[in-house]
This record gives sequence, structure tokens and C-alpha cells, in this order.
Amino acid sequence: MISLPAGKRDIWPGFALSWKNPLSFQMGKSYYLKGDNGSGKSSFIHSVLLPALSGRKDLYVLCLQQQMHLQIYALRAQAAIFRPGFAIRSEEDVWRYLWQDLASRQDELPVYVVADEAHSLDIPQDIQRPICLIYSSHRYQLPETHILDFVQVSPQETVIHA
Amino acid sequence: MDLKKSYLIADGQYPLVCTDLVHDEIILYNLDKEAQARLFAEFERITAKKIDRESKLEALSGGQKVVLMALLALLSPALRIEFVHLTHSLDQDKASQILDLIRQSSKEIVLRESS
Repeated sequence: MISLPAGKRDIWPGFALSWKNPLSFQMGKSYYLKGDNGSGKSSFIHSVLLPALSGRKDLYVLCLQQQMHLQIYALRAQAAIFRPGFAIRSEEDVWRYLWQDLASRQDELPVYVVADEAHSLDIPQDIQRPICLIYSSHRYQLPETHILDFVQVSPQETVIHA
Repeated sequence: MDLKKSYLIADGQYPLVCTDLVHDEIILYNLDKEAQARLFAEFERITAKKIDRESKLEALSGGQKVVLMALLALLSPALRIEFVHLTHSLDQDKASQILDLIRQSSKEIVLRESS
């Protein structure tokens, strides 16, 4: 589990995110980042959440970017070397490739799946390792998901209600 | 979509070509001064965020980039536009406002939600 202490984070000059209670992300659960365009969901992912997860040797982070054309190019290049024949043309292919890569690893480390406006949230049934899913989407919300509501209180600040 | 005609294709999964300034995208879409003024006004009306030619594109959220792409296409001289994945990254309010602008447009517009 990771926990982000309550506080206020300056994201860039003139915009901050704040939350009044610690934000905890537990294995076996999903968390829906809910909010309008521009409310700071992607900023939260990139400036707060991913830095808190990076560098950890005891977990994996599977991250899907919002506009992922650069990620598609990068994984296409990696697949060309390590998985020749695995065609990566779409976000769905990236999702499938990353899960297959994870399934091939001989450990049971947990994985944080961070999906910023992902097309697909279908986690393969045969994945045995613990998973925590953190996602934003304007299309769907999974059942029994914990909601983190991004409410813009001013152009300069968004408050996250958990 | 008539394959014998030329369309400006605007894909919400790849909304912006440039990485630096709004000005760069304006040049790509060939917007005249009147269209630029309308672009800034419509963008602020829809997103409540002010931009100008010198605004950094990296300061926009993913959804705001899609709004900007849609407005650039609608205000460009292109006669025919195909929008792909237009509303995928947009909240309901912004999607509704963009679709209203599309309905009001005199251009020939095709909407496609899948690749």
C-alpha cells in the first residue's frame, strides 16, 4: 500500500492540488480519478502519484499515458527487439503487450496499474499477482471503485475529495 | 466519408502535432487573424482557460488539447473534416459544446469513434 500524506502540492506556478486526508492506495482495490478536463487528474498522476511509486524495487508500475502515441512508438521499438512479430498498432496492443511482459516475469511482486484515460481496463484473468488499479476516464467507471473527486475550487486550486 | 475527396483528419488520440507554442499549431492549420481571435474566445468559453499565440501547449491538459484541436480544425480553411476519437478524452460538458459547434458548422464533417 502507498499513502500520500494530506497536504497541498504546487504543480506549477499558479496551480496547486490539495487534499485534507491522507490518500491511500491498497492492493486489490481500484481508484477512479473523477473530474472535468483541466481539473488536474493527469497532473496528479505525473507530479504526485508516479514520483511516489518510482524507484521502488518491491513493486511494478504499469502506466498508460493519456495521449500515448509516444508510448506506442517506444513499445513498438522494444517489441521489435524482444518480441519480433508482436505488432503494436493501438492502445489495446500496448495493454496486451505490457500484461504479457508482466506475466512472463518469475516473481509475485504487486503491480500498480495507472491508466490516464485508458481505452481498456480489462485485466487478464490469469494474472496472479496483487493489483491496484488507479484510472481516470470520461467513458466508464468500474463497479465497486473508490472515487477520488477532483473539484476545482478556483483556477489556481483543485481539492481532491476521497 | 467519400474517399474521392480530401479530408482534414483530426484525431483526438493525437491532438497536437507541435510541442511548443499555440502559435505553431495556428500556422499548421492556416488560421487567419479573425479565426485566431475566435479560437481564443471559443477556447476560453469552453474551458474557462485563457490562451494566446504564445501559450505553451504543455500547459494544457489532455482534454484541453483535444478542445484546441477541434477548434483549430473547425476554424481552418478545410472544407471537409474527419474527427476521430473526438470525445474520448472530453468531459460531458465540453464534449457537448464541441458537438454543438460541429452541428453549427457549414463544413462537411464526419465523426468516427474507432480507428
